[in-house]
Amino acid sequence: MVTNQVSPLGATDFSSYLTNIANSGAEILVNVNWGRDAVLSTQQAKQFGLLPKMKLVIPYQIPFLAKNVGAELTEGVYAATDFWWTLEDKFPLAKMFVEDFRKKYGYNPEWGAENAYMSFAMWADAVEHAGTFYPPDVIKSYEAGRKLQSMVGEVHVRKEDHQLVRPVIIVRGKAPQAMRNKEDFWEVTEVVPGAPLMQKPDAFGCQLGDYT
Amino acid sequence: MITWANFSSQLFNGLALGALLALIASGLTIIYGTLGVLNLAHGAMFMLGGYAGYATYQATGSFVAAVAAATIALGVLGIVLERVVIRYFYARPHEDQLLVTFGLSIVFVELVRWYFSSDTKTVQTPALLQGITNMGFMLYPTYRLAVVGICAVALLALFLVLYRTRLGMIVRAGIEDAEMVDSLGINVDRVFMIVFGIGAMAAGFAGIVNAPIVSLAPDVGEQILVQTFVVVVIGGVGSFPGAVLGGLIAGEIISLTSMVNPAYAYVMLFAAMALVLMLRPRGLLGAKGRE
Repeated sequence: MVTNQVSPLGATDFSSYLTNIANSGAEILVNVNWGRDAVLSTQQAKQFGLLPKMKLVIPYQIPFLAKNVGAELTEGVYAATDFWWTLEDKFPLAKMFVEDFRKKYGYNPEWGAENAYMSFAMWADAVEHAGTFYPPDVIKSYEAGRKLQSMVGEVHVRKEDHQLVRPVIIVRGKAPQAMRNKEDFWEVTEVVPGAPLMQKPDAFGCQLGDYT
Repeated sequence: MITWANFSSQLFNGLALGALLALIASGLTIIYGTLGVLNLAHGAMFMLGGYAGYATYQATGSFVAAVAAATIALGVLGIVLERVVIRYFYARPHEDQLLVTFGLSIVFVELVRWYFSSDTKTVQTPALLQGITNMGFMLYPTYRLAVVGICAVALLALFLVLYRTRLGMIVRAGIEDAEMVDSLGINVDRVFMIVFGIGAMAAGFAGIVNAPIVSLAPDVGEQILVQTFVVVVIGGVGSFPGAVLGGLIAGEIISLTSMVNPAYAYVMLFAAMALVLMLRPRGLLGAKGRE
């Protein structure tokens, strides 16, 4: 790693950092900014001639990033994510969700919407099986480890540390000319099962404590 | 890292940053110098200029129209504000002036949030100025290069108004001693109004010109306000050359410190301000006897 430029949260002008990067001789630009910072820093990186000369790496697919920076910059970029709407072709639940969402809001849902919906659906399932809203019983219902069908395949809650075991979606940016419609930014290359990827339940010294 | 290539790049980048700061600071400094009012709404003027330009751009598709509209709109707004609000606070203590301008800035930010939403809005770079210029020692966005030129022209225009017109002479006299100007029979009321208008106009113009670079959000004014005040302190209150010099110094401090470690860029800026306050409280080019 030739240089590590840390920008404050909410920075709007990345010129000083990008100038340092431009003069560092780096070949790959790993952008770990988030949200608007990610959009602005990527746009300005292009304005300063860093992209597409350097290879862009985004560890996590940021919602609306591709739409804001343009497919020319996200073309060929690999990222991990929770959900992408083209999974509707693979999972019937996803298809149902994407269609309803699109009808109601006029655009395809990103993983934020998917996670929100799934979290609520899973909670509803846990409450139904517990037969009560009383939190300790609902917790025990979660811990039963039922395998649920979600929009990304089968998921279940791990009893030991209450983490959700779920697949990770790997996407790659599509070239502008390969996009079938205005929102077709990413191509799902792989749906990786979550269990082998996760750390062991005691890896961070998790102590769940009492139910109440 | 400290290399010759990076040094020259950051030096130039500092010039670009400094030019913009100089423009906004000159508006603030003539307001403070002439009216004696600490205009905490100056950042909001910057932001409003950006949004006024954005709205015009959406309606007409012309960047030139957007810049013109933003400048005129903010000039008018500045005059209206002075007439309706600021005028009643000249005799009040400084705290009241701070509070009312701060309140105005909050009102403007929330109005913009209500009307435009809190989303970031992008203003397209004018087609003529898109792309990258190869400057030999670095690649630089063409538009940022243009902004340096635009700010220089605007500063020159301000300079000509202040130093080559009768109005400018009166404004400068008012900065030195407003009471004396009043006793000489000159309509200080009208001068104050025009000065506030010009100050707001400078901020608004800077706001729309800077919009294609950093995008618009309701809070861009807050960030720029702090930097602008630092520039005014360093350069000297009420001094137009001070604002320009202070702006360039501030821009270079931020950029050159970024060369070593960007995290310390603003620390160094405030350290410089503290140094100026300790060693030369009136600012580098400020007039003796001003607080």
